[in-house]
Amino acid sequence: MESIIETTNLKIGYKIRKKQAVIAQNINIKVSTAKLIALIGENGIGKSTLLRTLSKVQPKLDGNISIHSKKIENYTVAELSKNISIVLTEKIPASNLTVYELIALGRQTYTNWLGALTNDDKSKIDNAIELCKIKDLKTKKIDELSDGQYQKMMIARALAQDTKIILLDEPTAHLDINNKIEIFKLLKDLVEKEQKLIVVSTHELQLALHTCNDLWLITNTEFLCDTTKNHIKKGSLNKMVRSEYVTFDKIKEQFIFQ
Amino acid sequence: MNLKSTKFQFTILTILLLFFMLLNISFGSVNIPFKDVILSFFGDTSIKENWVYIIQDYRLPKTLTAILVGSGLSISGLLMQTLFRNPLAGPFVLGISSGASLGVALLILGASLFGASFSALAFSNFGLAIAASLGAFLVMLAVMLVAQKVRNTMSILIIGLMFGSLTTAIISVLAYFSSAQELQQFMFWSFGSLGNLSWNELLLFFVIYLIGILLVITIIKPLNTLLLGENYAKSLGVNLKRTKNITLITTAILTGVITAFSGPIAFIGLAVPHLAKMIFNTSNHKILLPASFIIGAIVMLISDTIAQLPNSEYTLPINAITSLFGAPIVIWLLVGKRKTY
Repeated sequence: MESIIETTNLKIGYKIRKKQAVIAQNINIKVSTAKLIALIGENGIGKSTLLRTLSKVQPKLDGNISIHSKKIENYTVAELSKNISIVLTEKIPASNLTVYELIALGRQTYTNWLGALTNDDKSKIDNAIELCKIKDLKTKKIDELSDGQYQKMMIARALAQDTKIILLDEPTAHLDINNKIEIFKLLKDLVEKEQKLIVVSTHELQLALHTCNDLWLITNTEFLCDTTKNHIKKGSLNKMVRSEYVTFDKIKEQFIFQ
Repeated sequence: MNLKSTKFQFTILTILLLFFMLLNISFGSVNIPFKDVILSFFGDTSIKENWVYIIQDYRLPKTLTAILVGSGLSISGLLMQTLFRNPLAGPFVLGISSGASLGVALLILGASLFGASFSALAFSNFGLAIAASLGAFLVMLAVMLVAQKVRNTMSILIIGLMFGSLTTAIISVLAYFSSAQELQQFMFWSFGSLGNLSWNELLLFFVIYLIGILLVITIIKPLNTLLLGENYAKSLGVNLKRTKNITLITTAILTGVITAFSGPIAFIGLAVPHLAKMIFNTSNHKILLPASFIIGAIVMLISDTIAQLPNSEYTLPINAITSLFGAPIVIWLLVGKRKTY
């Protein structure tokens, strides 16, 4: 089957005056179907860097990334924007934008030189708003939103961009438990109803275990990608916790505090 | 999203613009009634001949200059505020006004060092315009070259400020060694002036201004995307480098030509974009650009009308008027509103 995202020996990090500051390497990924994938690892391990590198916001250091079997360096920014959309951790700068206007900006890559919205654009925007259940926020200014509403708006914007792949960087940080559940449920629905391939970095291990098809685990030494079930079976989740007080219980499928 | 009220606001502003144009032509050391101003445009011969002369050769060019200066600076200011995502950015952050000041300072304050033939040049308008453009161009070029080396857009802002400090320092040294008369002439230039342009000079001004405006229209869409920040803009298919360069070049063209012909006019470029954002309550550049254009022109016309001190022979420095009357208004508006940028 044709792969949607494929990486071979990918090395990610930063370049500082020709010197490489490697954050993670030997990353080998192959995803061929729509699914929900959680990217898990401790702070500073390279989750954001990986998501930014996959979306070409940041250059890779070495190795290969292919999107739909085409090398990422052969995509123009405009072409890539029709294949990958992102939700970043950075807050967007303060402005007078309304929720609708912001989501409409997701259509920028398809609109004419003045950014005029066609009927098709408008229906895609309405559909995204519908899916994220934020109809009542449409006319609000973006700085009037709560954190939970803000994240839903950013997901709607990514949906309006109409891409197969959506990458989200910690969309549930700072959210209360109900909003966290809602976001993961929403992402799961999008995979099932809209056939999206969604990669979400998160610290919500328990939620990820129950909702995500696959897990990508990053540790200091390895990059493990497999289905959630296999990870549970193999006990690789124990590598995610260093504390001696917590272990992963394979049968209960949850972390146990001793 | 309220199209009707936006159209209404634009209509009101356009009417205000026309009104203040008439007012600006009508008022001055000699007051010419509105009716006669309008009649003179239709070639009516019953009007006093010297009034026609005043209107056509002095007042009208000045009014048009005010519109070009006000609108151009406001649009440049809006571009810089969007590019740097900084409400304090204005058209002069690229070092253009400091460069122009340096050019003029070298010409006027340095004139005595270079001899008499040079100082004759220093007293002509043309000489000042050339010195200002050269200075502005060179300093801006330096800022842009350094800017190409840095990835972070915010660094460009700081680099521009540093170049500003450098030129100010050089001007201080020059000023220290200058005569009182030279200093006074330099001061007069730095007050800014809208008059004194011939129709030919105005035409040249307009052509360069138009190039800048046409360039702005091509980047309305990416400017809107930049509201999300550079990373999102990139992920939405915006060619960041190209957008950044066009934005910088446009600002350089507009601000450069304005400073060359009218001196370093302060305040307008910083304040008018905020007024536009407050009045229209939007961040959409399709609305903000024309809004900044009209409001900038209106503010400049009002400032110039006040500076002319109707019924008197005196003319106040335009730079003082823009800030003296503009700053309190912006403060008052900001206090009334919760937030604006």
